[in-house]
Amino acid sequence: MRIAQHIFRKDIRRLWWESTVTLAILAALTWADRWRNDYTPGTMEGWLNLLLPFAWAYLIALVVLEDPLVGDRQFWVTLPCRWPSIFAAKALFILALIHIPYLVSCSVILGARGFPPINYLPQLFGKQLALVVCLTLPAAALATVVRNVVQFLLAIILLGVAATLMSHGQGMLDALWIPVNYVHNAVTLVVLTAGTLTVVCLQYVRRATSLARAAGAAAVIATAMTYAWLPQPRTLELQCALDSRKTVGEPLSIHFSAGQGQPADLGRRMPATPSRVTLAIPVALSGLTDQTRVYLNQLALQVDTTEGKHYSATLATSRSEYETLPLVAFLELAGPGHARQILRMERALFDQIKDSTTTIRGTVKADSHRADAAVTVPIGGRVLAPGLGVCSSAIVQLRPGEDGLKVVCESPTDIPSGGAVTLMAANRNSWGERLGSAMTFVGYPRNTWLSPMNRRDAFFHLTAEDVSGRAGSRWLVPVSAVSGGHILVTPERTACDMITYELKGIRLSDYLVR
Amino acid sequence: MIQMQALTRNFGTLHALQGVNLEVPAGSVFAIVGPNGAGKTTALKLCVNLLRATTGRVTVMGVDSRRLGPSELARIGYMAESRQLPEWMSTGYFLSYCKEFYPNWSDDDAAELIRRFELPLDRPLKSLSRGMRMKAALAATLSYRPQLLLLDEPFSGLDVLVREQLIESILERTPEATVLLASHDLAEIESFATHIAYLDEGRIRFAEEMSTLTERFREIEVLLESPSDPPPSPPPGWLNLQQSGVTLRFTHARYDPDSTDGEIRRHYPALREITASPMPLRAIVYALAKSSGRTAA
Repeated sequence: MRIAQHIFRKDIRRLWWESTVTLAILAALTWADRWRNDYTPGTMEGWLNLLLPFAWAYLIALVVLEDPLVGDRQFWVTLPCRWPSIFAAKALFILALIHIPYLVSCSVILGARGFPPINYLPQLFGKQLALVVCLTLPAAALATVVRNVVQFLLAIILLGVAATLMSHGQGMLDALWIPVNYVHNAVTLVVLTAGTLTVVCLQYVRRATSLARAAGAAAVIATAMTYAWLPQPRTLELQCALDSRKTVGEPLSIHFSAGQGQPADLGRRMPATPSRVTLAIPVALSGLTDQTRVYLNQLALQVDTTEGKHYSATLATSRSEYETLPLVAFLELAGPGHARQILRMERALFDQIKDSTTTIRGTVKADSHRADAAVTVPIGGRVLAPGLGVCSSAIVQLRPGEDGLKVVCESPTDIPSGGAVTLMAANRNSWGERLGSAMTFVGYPRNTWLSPMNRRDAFFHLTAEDVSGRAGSRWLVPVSAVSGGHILVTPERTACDMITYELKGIRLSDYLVR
Repeated sequence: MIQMQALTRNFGTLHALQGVNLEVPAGSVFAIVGPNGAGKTTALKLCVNLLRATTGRVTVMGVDSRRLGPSELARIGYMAESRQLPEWMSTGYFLSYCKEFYPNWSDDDAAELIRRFELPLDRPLKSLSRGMRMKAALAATLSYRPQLLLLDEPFSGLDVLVREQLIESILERTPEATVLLASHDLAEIESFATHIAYLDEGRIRFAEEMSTLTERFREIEVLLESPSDPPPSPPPGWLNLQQSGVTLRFTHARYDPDSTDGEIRRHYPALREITASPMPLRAIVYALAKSSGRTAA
């Protein structure tokens, strides 16, 4: 350990300037995060969230390359010290200059946001683990198989471009209302971690560069393949199965329910175009109690025709090519116990199968929430909402001349998307939104994975005049409704269930939205 | 001190070393010489585990070089022209950084070497001349009194004064320390090496004590009575045979004062005079390289 400390002190002496820069970036990010009251970060925080991981990765590369593993001219190899000393020195550096400062930063943010850090140690250590798995280990592994920093940066750029292309192809930038697939992400990260650990061990224990490079390339390919090919519905199903909270009593089920009328505004929201049509098939939800509110996430859907043709729907994502997918499906709630199976498809496809008798087979993930446990948030107030953290509301300027009522819930623990937010006016009129239903498009990086806080928000757009009843008025709230009104948030998730269903004998042309 | 057994090292399709067998006795100053690309540097790197052998093994101080631990490395000094020193360090910090690794470090020796080499302690290594950097590296190496010194091209490109200083400092450590050095500075090596090995195209052509080598190589000049044809196949040991009129010249690699005269007379019965001149190391190596179709460095 004496030798490890000696090498550590040498690395500190060598990299003090670079270390100071990363600490300064972290301090700036901490400051920005500490004051943020939105899901979306500000411009500076957005860029800092991108810059800091790069700065850390660069620092890791520098410290690893101080005593490089590749080559046959290294000074340290002929020094009388074993590989564990070198390894320990590097680990100590990364711990002292990256992980401990990050832990302090997260604790400061939590404390400043009103969450005593000591109560959230599992979340804080979870963040550390995420940093190890997503950044420290991959950066260290890469640094052990390159000759110099230039090679490291080129490899980072190459991997970054490949990941961006792949994420675009895979619809990685899912909308906030798409459930987070923890199992899918965890399995992918386990593969990545196994690969990066193998590379690091091969290099520090044996300095087997060719083998380590091959292992690294295999790890990258295996990670990408796992991410791309691990079936989303199956992993979400597993995630749901691992959730101990299940609906008690009659299981949830979905079945065809004739007799519901067409929704009045659906034609406006998803209008038919020369190339696309919308279908709305009424379905009933059974097994729900009055105290339960359920959110449905379509995981799979297949349309089978009597002619033996099969058409699979794509999961809804936020990709810009959403309207170019042949068939997109989701379930839309339409009142207590009722929903609609929405199909948005190419007109050419519709024309082919519209008069066939089809069977629709679907799988949805149902997240149930307690409808009777709504928490009241006064306008401009801040309250604790179990299961959601701390929720607050305030009137903010959305754009010049346009105000909105913002509701933000934040917590160090995960906040499930889709929590109901209802603005109740004094005259008993109400407007509904869901936490995380709005996504602001900004011209800078918006990912805040380093933040120890989870935040979800919902916006009500305020208008000077009452436009209730007009087209599109569902999203607009008169300013007068705010005074004397209050917010209700429905927080607690009670169960996660997978529902598979079959809608038989469906003639699609009967459900065309006009 | 060092045994190389059937040592082979390949870099892709390049065979840097091919079945090298070599033994470096304790207390010797053993020089490996040979042309560029002969495999000298590779051989030394294999000794300190900077490279791994493709096949065969190197035993250093009785330990397989792949398993050299701190206790062995603390007694080995390695200095190479190509070694990546931490050039950002000041000379003083470099010496104090190295000191922590070596239990046998002697501050007195370090101070003496700093004084002798006139090392500027406050200047970073990268700002030093090549000679001064080598001096700093040698000071760091000699200060822990290694039992084995591995030196790869330690003097190339250095001025005479610096060279003499380095050689003097190294020789002060012998015979307590064994020295294995790779070099193509033959004139320098001749002055202090006790043993020599000639490495060419990854193979050891010869390895022996310097005294026996210089004894057995002679530049032979034979004055014939009349021009005559050279033997169809020259006897073993006759290298680079040249005949011009009545004068025959060659390098004899197996010179024996008692038998060589008779051997020549058997092939050239009518001769007037035989002259056998001692050869400097440079001439021996050149003759060997020429005989194998290569030019010595």
